[in-house]
Amino acid sequence: MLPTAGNGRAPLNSASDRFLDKLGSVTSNQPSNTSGTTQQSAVVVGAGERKGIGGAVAAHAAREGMHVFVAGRTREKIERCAAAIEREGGAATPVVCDSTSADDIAALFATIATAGLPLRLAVYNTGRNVPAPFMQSTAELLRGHWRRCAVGGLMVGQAAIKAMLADPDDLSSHHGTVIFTGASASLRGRPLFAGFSAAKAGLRALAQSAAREFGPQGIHVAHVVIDGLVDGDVVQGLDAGIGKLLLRRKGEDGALQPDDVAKTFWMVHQQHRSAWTHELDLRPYAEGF
Amino acid sequence: MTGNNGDRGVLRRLAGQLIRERFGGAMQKRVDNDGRPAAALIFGAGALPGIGAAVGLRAAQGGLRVYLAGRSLDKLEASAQVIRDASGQVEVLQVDARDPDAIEAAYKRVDADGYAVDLVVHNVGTNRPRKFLELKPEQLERDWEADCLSGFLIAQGALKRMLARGRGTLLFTGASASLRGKAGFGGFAASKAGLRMLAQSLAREFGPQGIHVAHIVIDGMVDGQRLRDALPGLLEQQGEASALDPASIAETYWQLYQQPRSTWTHELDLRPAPETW
Repeated sequence: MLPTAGNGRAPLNSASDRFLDKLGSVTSNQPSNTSGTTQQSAVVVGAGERKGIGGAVAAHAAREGMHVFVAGRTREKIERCAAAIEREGGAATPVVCDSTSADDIAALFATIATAGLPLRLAVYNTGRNVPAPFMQSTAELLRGHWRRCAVGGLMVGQAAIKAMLADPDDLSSHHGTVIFTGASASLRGRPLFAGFSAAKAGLRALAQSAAREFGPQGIHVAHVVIDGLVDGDVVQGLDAGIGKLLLRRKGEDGALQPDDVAKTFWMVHQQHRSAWTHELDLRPYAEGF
Repeated sequence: MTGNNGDRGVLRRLAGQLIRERFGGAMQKRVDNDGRPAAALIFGAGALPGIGAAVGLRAAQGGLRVYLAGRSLDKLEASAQVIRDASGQVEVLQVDARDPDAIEAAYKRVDADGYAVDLVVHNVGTNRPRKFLELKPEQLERDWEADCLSGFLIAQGALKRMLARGRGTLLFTGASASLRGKAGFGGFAASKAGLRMLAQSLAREFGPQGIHVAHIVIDGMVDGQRLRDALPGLLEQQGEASALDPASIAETYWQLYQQPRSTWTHELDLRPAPETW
């Protein structure tokens, strides 16, 4: 449910009254589009298979009643993902989109606009942490990370915020949520990850700046630091069974479950605008940090 | 006979596994390994609306038995009445969070009632400006006892019990002062930063043993009776959502408590949409 508290009602006398009144609205846990008649839409850029963070976030938003646009580079993956979401009873549209391409992003948001459903949630979930020793890292490698993480994040953030502000929510003053997926590399550079860390730190700073600029306009911008192995299709599919071995070594609940990550993304989107999170971390209980 | 007992052990383990698979994290959260129902203990609970009591109300709505601990029985009792009216189970305990004996007594009370303490919230603090050159060392120490030492004492009592069961959640209320010292708040910032480091250290040490420790950075004015009494008219003047709403804060505390252990948050911030930071 997008919060609707505090609209079109008589002012309440005491803090207690306001509190009790608001409590009903924040804990009622209703699907997002029961309060209004219009279905809302969500977009996940950097989605892949259903069993990854992007796919899981899209599936969760669809389960809550949103129409989701599943955008990613690999057609087969996003088509499988959209089909899986439909099988779960949701509505999903796959859109092929390379987040480093301004044209692709423009086309994606044109598709979203054509659907005519107000965009209320955008998730930017790209970037692959391929290790590269510092002395062997090239300027091109650095530029690749930078474009995928920071420039793509900027372009998608701009397009999403523009769409949300152009079609404000009449029922609440929360016009939309933009969530950027971060990593532990967003906070510190470890050996072999110089290029990736620099790009991820850049994305984090963009998110922070956008949160400060657009919070007062009713756009909730958040950055989620994922710190740990994700038990998704990427790791599971690593060559020669390495991924499965890694997951087994982590033990039960030792790797992040995409569906559980998605629950927290959704919680952030659900937050009432009087108490918004800009940044949080997510890691498995046994992870060293 | 021994074979029979062995079978029963296997059956119990299988049943436990089935229940875990069937009901997932939520079920595990509410039912303790040894069958005792779960309780929440809120230190610094205070009046409604306020963060501590609001978290208590949310926990009671979530099915936990709630113990509201604080210094002022009048305030606690008023908060408890609201929780009872919402059909929640609640008890009040007079506790000064600087007093180790009072804290231990609070935990013992929960034990004696037959409940397992599964959620502990530290919401104790003194946010007041102190002029640096006029601040006396004794005052600094007293503030630190309330803001930081209390967290240490509360955590020890909680961990003793939670570790025995390999589960439990410990939430610390932080502030923007946990991250930076503003002019006039040196003492408060020092204590709050200390509390944050304590929380971070506990998260790293006890996470692998199944204890979820999280620190919540509250950045902004909180819409409570205290603020309305201290600065009447300010909130109306600043507009809707200019202050953090305790019910919304409480909802996020509750969501943290609900996180499955594959996906835990150690730290998050909370602020109102229009807040500058």
